[in-house]
Amino acid sequence: MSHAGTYLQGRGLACALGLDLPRALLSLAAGGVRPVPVQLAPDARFPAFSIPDIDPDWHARARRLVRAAVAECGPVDRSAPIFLASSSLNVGALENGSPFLPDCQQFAEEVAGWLDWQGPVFWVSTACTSSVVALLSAHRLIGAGDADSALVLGLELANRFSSAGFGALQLLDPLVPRPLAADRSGLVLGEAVAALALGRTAARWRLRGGANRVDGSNPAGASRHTVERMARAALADSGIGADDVDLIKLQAAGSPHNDAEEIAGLKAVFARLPGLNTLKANIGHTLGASGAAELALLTACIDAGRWPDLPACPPDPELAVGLAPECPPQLRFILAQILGFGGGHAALVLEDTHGSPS
Amino acid sequence: MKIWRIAGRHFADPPPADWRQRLATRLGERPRRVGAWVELALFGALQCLDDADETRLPDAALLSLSTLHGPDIALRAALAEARDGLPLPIGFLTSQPGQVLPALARYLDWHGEGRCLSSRAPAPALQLACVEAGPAGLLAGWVDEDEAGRSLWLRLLPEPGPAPTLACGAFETLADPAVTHLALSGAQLHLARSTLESVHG
Repeated sequence: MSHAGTYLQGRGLACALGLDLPRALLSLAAGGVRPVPVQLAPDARFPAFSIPDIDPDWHARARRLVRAAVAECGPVDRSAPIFLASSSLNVGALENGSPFLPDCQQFAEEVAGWLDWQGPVFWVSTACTSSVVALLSAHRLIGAGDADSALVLGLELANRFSSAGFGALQLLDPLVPRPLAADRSGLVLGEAVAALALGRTAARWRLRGGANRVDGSNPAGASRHTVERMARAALADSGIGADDVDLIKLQAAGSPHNDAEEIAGLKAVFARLPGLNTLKANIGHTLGASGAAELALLTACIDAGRWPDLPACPPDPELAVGLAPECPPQLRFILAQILGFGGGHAALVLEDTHGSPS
Repeated sequence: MKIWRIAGRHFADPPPADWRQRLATRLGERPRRVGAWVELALFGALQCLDDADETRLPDAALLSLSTLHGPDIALRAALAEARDGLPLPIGFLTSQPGQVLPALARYLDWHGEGRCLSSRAPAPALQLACVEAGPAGLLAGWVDEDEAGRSLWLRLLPEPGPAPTLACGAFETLADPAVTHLALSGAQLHLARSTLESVHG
């Protein structure tokens, strides 16, 4: 089992819903936002969720968004480790003519420089699971006593290349995200800059543990057997059983294959599925930032008593599950998972220390 | 300090000139749908497992791959390809660092916890991996395609026996087969040699 836990000391988020969490919650209350079509090639046009901050200078925009997300976390120890979790890193800048840097780490160090960060800098790149993998590493470093705190920064900013790549693999939905829907047909990508500060000081949200499992059978998708193994390992690492879980934050990005594999894997673990939630219809799939972005948004929603509206799409009868229309009235443990590209399957168990068990 | 026994090692830097041919011979085929950086990672990881006398990496072992450049060459090619349209699927896949993990999972017959990360110096990545690994140990690699390329790997297992004598050492010293154990305090590497004189235990 994992150690006693690491607490969420602060969080910040810029996403399509708004430049910070208060504005994101206001946007959710007003019905949220829709993705905007992006022309990738003469015959390829896909929707995407964009952060409402228009600036042709990629670096200036990235720096502003990163500083704001970290500032939203409140005070942080800048001598602690920082984990930059990103799939696309600075590809958007390269597309705009910025020169290639001597190595990948240089951009991570540049981001750390924007924050006057003095501690060790890691760039975690495990595709969609990057933020969850980074959170697990930070949690364990703190638990082992090798750090008192850590910052995980999920960063995924607009670039043609990621959209074009997923488009070329025929993984994108041409319209809107339709998680768990009968007519779902793929992902809708989104931008996010999410900061999560972890530490030992008791706070409302405690990270209890988690798991990360790689499956080599499908480099672009999830496997039900690995979902099952991952979920069981995450529960064991957190010292809880399946019956203790009150809410599952799904990957559920609207992929025909992955949504079905995810639900099948969970049904093998849970005799009766607890409440289900996904935020992909609200902010899109924010790739390497998604784990941090969705945890920041979900915990903010629960803290504020603002539950996201359900996507307006008919559920898939073959999956025989539905999303929770409201926050479970008694909520203590959340299983939050991110799956997909790169054979990654990762989950965290989050505990609401103010909550009561169901 | 947790002490690790070096159960297997592949520290050829640069790799032998015929590494690609040797990888294909070892696997019985050229690996499909992967780029050169992933092939280089596979070559070193398999050599390291062979050195550890393991036919597969146990599922409970942690796999940690560190890189400074990742698939940079493939990324440049795919970005050029995508300038005016969609990249070829294979070009996009080979440009993504995370794609090294399913390839390693497949060819090491492993279904465990793995990650790809970068850090400026090699020791912090090793420190992080040693903190996170459990009783089945870890397979840690440092793989880059720059210049002649390098694919350095260690298979580490917790040392259950009496603590060997350790002394501060440099990362490059791990290439020496006489180095049998390692430990980390922070990012400071401590090594035990089969013939090293005692500094502290």
